[in-house]
Amino acid sequence: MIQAELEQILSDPLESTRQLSREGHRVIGCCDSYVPEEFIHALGMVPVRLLGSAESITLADSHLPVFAGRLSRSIFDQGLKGNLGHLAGVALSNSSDSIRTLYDLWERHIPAQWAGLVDVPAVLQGETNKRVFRSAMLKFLKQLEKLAGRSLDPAELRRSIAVYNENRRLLKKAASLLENSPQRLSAGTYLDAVLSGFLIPKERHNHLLRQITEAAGAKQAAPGQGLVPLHISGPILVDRSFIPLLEQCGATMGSEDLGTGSRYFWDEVSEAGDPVEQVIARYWSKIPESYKTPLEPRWLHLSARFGSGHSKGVIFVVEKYSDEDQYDYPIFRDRLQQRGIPSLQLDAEFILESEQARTRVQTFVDIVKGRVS
Amino acid sequence: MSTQTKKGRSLNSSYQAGTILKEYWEDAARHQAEGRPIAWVSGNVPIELFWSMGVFPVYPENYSAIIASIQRAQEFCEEAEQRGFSNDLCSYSRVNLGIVLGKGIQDPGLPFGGLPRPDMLVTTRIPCLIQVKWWEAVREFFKVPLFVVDATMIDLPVREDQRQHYLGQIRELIPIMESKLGVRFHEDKFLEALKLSDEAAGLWLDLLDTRAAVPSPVGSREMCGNVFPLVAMLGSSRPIAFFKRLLEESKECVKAGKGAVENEKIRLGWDNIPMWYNLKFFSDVEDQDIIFTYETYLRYVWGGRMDLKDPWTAFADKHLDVWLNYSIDQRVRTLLSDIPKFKLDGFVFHQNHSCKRFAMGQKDAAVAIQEKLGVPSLFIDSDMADPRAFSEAQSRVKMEAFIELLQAKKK
Repeated sequence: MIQAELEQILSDPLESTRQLSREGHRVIGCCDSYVPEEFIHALGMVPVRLLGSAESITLADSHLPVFAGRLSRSIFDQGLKGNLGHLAGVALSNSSDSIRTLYDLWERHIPAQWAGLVDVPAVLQGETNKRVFRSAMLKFLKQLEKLAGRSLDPAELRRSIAVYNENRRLLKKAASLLENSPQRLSAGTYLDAVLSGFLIPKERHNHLLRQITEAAGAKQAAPGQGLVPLHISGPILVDRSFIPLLEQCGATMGSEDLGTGSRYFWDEVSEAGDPVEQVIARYWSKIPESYKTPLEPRWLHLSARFGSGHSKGVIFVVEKYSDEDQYDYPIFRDRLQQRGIPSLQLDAEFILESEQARTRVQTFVDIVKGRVS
Repeated sequence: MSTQTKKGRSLNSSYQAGTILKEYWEDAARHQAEGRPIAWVSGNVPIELFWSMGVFPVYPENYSAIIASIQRAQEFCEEAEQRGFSNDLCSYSRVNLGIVLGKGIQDPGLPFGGLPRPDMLVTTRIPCLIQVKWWEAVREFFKVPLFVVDATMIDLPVREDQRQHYLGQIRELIPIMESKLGVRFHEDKFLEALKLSDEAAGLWLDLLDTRAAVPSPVGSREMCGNVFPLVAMLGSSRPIAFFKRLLEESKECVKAGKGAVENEKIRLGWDNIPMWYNLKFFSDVEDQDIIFTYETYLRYVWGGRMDLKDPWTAFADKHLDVWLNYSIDQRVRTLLSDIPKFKLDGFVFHQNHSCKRFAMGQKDAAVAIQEKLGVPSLFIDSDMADPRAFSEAQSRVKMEAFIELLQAKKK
């Protein structure tokens, strides 16, 4: 029954967010992990994640070169086609150069739809950047308040923080069940559980996660034992067919540090003190994405998640033209190599399923198996 | 209207550009040999600070452009790709990483005897995020301190909060340079460097302005060769005499009605970094009595005037006021203002795979200049350093068709 609900949410992500609008929610499409969703939630709106789609891109190509990358082109294409018309607005941040440009394009070509910019620095170090980061977050909050037509109530923000923190704790619980040996939560269910959270209100997601983690916790082991656990890293993984592909090759996801995974939910907001300041502090110090510097905390998170699980190798799923991740890959690969951990990079454009990817994964799994046995 | 010969430089002083470039790299090597500090820097760093503090700013970007211009970029790009760096990444960075991770920066087969080893790495987000990622990869190899100057994109005029963001980081950078490199900051030396920088930038901008004349005294190919001192030497005295001579010559040409091409018929603008391995692209066009006389890359990426009555404000504004840091709206406004001034008949946008931040927004700009000014555009799909991304035949055919269109429009 839980699986059926996840399937319903994920089979048509846009439809899931449309349903929220039909139910009377003001839905905000968020573009990355530096949009402070707690502010949106506390102002009575529902933040969802813009994940793009694998559908063919037509209108956006008149504005963005192919090498801007699939995520920004796809989201903009959806916007131009009116497929995001049900959203009360979109929230973008100063993340990759493509996404930052997307904000300019949105303002120029979809002016009727509210677009907010979280114009935070790329450098998450130093007192000056910290001050500018805070100021950008507060500026974004003001934009949101204007959109919502009311001021943020600190009590409501505390409640939102509690909801989000519970969500993060439940997702971490799910991650620990995934990392367990034997695995108690299957990789497929884990990925669905994580992705569904981008498309529904966090309260509903918490309810779902409680059911998922309780059911998994009661089991001795999830199906699919005997598969080689691999750590999956990268900015975005929305292709649900990747897990079956791994399984067909004799492997599974045993841990992850994905941008749309644990990097998104790992850090909580302190529930003590001024809630606005605590939300800002959380986003300043969260595990940085590849479009932020320094990279060390990201590496430490990768290492920690890899170490917590029983993964035998690492697959980097890197979106084509995602330059930031493409620069990181050789660095992380070499560091892993120094520890005797094999890794593989897979290029994706949302979809990973292809004969070439299958062959590469199969070869990698065979190598890892050879080292394990 | 008198004309000059088509072959060779339009301005005699342009022949000095190669000497200046050679001296710069020789000076860098000498600086290191004398035990003085070297910083590897990237485009749009606060260059005046380095010169005033006695830290030699070495530009691997420029070095990659040199490598491309002598037709050697592909071998280093391939070296970097073999080591896991995607061929979609910035080709300047791939050339550099290919050198660093391949035979090394002191390989005697490299131009000017190679690159001096960095004592520190300084880069900035101002032109793009890629610079930051590239320097992170370089740091992994050299294990030296890295400082990144951040900035958010601007619409002119620069906002006070953006200015303070920039200056706050400079105040953090100075003591780090002092402690890591054993140098001292002296404000009087810094202000002197700003003065030199502003003087050189003023001369350069005046030089570019002479190219609004019909016929244009000098084309893009030659000017791309002249820009280096503006990139790397602002804050030192070296560029001033050079730019002064170029300006004087260019003014004389304008006064005498001397054009860089015979019977100038069509005037073009260029957006993005040129194809360093194929600057002949410009001169081939010039052979058809067509001149490229305006470039966003030469006008809005390097240099910029400063009102030194308020030097720190001017310093910040100058470094933030960079084409690559402009919003799309700002880029469009700038082109709409400049194209009539330079009397351009058409515009060529280089869809440079390696400089995405430059390339994004080009399509909007092309539509705007067509709609508002009736100026048509051409897109050339290529790369600034990696020749594998350039299709000679396809580009030639597209350019010929574009010229036919412009000629028909002129009739």
